Amino acid sequence: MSEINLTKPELKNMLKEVHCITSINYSQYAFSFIKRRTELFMNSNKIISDIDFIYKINKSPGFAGQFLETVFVPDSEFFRDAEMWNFLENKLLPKFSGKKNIKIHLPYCTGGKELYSLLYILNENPGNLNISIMVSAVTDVHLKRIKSGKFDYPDIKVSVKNIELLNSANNSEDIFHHSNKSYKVKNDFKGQLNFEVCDFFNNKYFSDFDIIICRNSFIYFNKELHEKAVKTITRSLKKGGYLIIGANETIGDPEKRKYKKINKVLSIYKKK
Amino acid sequence: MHRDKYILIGGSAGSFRIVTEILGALPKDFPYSIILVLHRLKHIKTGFTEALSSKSLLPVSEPKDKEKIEQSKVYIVPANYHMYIEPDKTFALSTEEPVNHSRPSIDITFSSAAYSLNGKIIGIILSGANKDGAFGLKKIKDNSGITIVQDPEESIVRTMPDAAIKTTKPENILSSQKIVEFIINLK
Repeated sequence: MSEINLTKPELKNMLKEVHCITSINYSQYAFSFIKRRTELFMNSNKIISDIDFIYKINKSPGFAGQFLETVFVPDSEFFRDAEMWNFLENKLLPKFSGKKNIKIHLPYCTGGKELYSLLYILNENPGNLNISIMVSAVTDVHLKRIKSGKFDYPDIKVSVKNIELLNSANNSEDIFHHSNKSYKVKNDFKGQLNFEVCDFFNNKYFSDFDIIICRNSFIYFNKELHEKAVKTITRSLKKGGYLIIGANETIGDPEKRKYKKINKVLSIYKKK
Repeated sequence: MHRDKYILIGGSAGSFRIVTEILGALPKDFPYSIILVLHRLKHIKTGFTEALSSKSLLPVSEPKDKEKIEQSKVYIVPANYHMYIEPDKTFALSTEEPVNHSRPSIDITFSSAAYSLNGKIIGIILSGANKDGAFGLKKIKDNSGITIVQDPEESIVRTMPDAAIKTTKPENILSSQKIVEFIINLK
């Protein structure tokens, strides 16, 4: 753990500089989270003070990119909360059977495990669904990594228990190819897969999605950005569409947001 | 002047029994928020909170992200999440990489609480099999909080208390029975 202990004003000044250089406004992130990530970055790069940080981010090429890499948290596991994936496969996707051009959005992707978990589920349960998927990420570095679809053994290892709990697979061999020290999800997705670099919550939004899967992203936002994100996502979802968020995330009062929670345990909402 | 009061308890292997003893001893108007950071199996989502709740007169829950911390309530960090304490006295969850092989990490919750909370804070480290919590407990002590570590001699697994004692030099090294007595006698 970090021995640096940034004050609020120090952190604010540093994030202001990051905003100027990267256009990403981290002052809208949850305070304790961004404080810890920034301190971790400073420790690992031997940066001793806020002044040192501000000097280096303005002078050293690549410094800002390194900072972004430290701050972003990749999705933690394949098939995290397996019960959600089982629900998606067995209860939610069948509702779209026979419908044309089902649009799914994965905003704010950072690692790709959510995307490839979804593609596997769609492989296993095609049901003649005509699906297009929009994947958006905040930086092109993330998008490039997501597109490659390559993962390491530790990524698979932490997901083994989740896979055991899936209805549609028994073990990781059912799901992953292994070659040249990397793993790829067996993927036979025939629909459209579109990738976009955009700061979904601040700059622009897309529309008419049937399903939005945005799990464990809201947790990194402060209340203002969280509010903005929920409103943006709600606008981009079709009436009758589904929003899936992380197990312990919240959108506030679903009724006020014009959502109905459709599962007692899982955080899955239907837009009214 | 009214001060909010918080007890943060971190534990791992061998800590469940003493946590239930603490919760079982507290009256329903006990004027502290109790925040439990316990290492637990990440796939077991139900049963744990209910088991603790059955021993407690205080309401026990896993907080949602951005939930406000209230007094006279017990909060347990959800499985497979880290949990920060924010300066506005809310919880903030995270799926960052494990710290000390643990998610939740006691260090993350304790350190952020030490920074964010300005009331009376008591940090307690119980039995456990790794050094998680040692750094966070030191942060609580550095911010004028009260620190307690379970006596390693009576801990089922002494690694965590030993690490906390070495790092923090806590004011109190107590048996589980004395920890319960200490808490119920708090004002």
